[in-house]
Amino acid sequence: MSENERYEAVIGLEVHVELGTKTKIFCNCPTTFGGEPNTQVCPVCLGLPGVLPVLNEKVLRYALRAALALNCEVARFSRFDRKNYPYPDLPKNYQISQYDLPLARNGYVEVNGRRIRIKRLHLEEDAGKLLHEGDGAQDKWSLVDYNRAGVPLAEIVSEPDIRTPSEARAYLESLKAILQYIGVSDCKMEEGSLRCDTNVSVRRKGETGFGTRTELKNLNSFKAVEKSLEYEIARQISVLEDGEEVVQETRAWDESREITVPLRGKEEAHDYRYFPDPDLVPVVVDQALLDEIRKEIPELPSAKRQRFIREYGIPEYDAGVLTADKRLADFFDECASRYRDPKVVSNWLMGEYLKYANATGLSFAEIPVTPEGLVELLNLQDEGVISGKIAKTVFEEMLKTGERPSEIVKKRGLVQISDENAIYAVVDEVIASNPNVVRDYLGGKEKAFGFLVGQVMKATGGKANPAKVNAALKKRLGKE
Amino acid sequence: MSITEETVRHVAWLARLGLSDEEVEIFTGQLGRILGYVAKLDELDTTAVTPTFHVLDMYNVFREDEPRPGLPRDEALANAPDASLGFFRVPRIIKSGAPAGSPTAEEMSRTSSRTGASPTGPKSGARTGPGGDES
Repeated sequence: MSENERYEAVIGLEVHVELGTKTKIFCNCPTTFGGEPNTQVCPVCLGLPGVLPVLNEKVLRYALRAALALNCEVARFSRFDRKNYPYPDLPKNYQISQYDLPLARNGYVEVNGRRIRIKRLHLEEDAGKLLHEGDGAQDKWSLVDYNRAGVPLAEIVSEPDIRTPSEARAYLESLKAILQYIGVSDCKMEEGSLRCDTNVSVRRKGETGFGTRTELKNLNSFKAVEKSLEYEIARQISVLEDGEEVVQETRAWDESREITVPLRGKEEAHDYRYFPDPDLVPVVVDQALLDEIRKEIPELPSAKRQRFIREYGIPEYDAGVLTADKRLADFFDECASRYRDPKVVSNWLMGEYLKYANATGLSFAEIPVTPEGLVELLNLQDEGVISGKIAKTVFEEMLKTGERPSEIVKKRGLVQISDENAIYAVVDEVIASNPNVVRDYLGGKEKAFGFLVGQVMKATGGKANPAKVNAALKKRLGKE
Repeated sequence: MSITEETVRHVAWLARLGLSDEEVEIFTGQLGRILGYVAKLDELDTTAVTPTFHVLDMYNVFREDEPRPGLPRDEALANAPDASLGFFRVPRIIKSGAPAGSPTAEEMSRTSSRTGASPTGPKSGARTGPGGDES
């Protein structure tokens, strides 16, 4: 048994999600991403004296929606606390957060059949952003932009129920899908609207206690979450195997070197001196509000996945891929409900469509093709107006322009050639100009036939009806 | 209720106050007397009293999610001790000389639980904020 097999990892995730409200959590400043520095600030989020923060009701509703979708128990009574620490990204020297009375607790997410428990979900405000003037050793300054200070965050903390790096990634993906489905966050890791820190320790299999853990930061992608955990687990095991002890510390993932490095030396004991924020009144959530919020929650990914399998008869794998993103799932749903063979729709989406999205880096919202367009394309193919090969060409155009397939076919003259006379004319030409190949074929070389078909397709710009080309060739070559 | 000098130094550090040894001694005595006075309340039997979670008897005060312009940038920066290029400018709080492009402590700490956020010890009379090295 190898070293790795004698150990297991214990992983917990802390996820921060920016809630997609128009304004900040405690003031009316806009939350738009990418504004000029310090142009989305006001006395409240700058922490000027004498101001009074007031909770954005939409923030509460979004957080409640998330709490219910994540199967949490919502607290009837919760409140905001001040988390005190001096740091320049924090204009007030405290962050408004929730401490001992969080909005929700004890939820779970179903990940590949395992239940990953959620310890708590609470609201807090985001901090500002620090930048450096130059990067030389002589630079003594940092620049602060408070546009992000006060942007609403939901912090979602899992129990240490995750056992492998791939499970951590799957948990994150599920979480992201759920939050996107319920429309509370766009969850863009690259814009920081979804951020993740991980806690990880290892222990010998069969043990129930926990080993000393480290916290990993600077995880800017799902891949980084997975790879950093893989590295860190191996590192901790080798430390233990060497008879040493894991040091409890915060480590950063170094993306370019693919290793984790200590972020700072000895940990200062945290002493945030939490206390209730006297500027904000408590939040009381009654059953009527919860019932109202529950109605806002649409069909969630796992339910949709089951329905796709049941209703459309597509494989579980397809259903998983298609429901990972709500827009993609809705696209499929619309096509599949009006086309005779849902699996064909699934193939097009998982093939051409996803390939295009990955290659261009465009989001599904940015790709102009519509469900109606795809269904029309499939019908054109079924009716024999275009060949399968041409259908792909047309779809490529649709992905770029969103134009209707019938328009593209008309404009570019892509209608399939099914006219027998026209096909025979080309076939005769190809036979005449490839006497050697014809001889090979007649001599028993089956492969030569494919070449001749290819020549006919080439001569017709891929528009010839393949079945008819086959038949015509066989007939002319006396095989029919 | 007695307060130790160690407690006073720790609290002063948390508040980024630089205290002299004499001041530590003075405040140790004063804080001890204040807490001793308030400790009188411990004599009350509060077992049957509901805990006060908030001083105001109010809850659920909300705001509509409607954007409104805040301060013009010039005004936002007007009282800043230092500003540059539309940013507030502060003393750098991480160790300089990290390789270009490598993540900084701030960038990492911004994600969350603020474990990355506690700067090291105070400077004497440091009213300009933390000046210690982060790593």
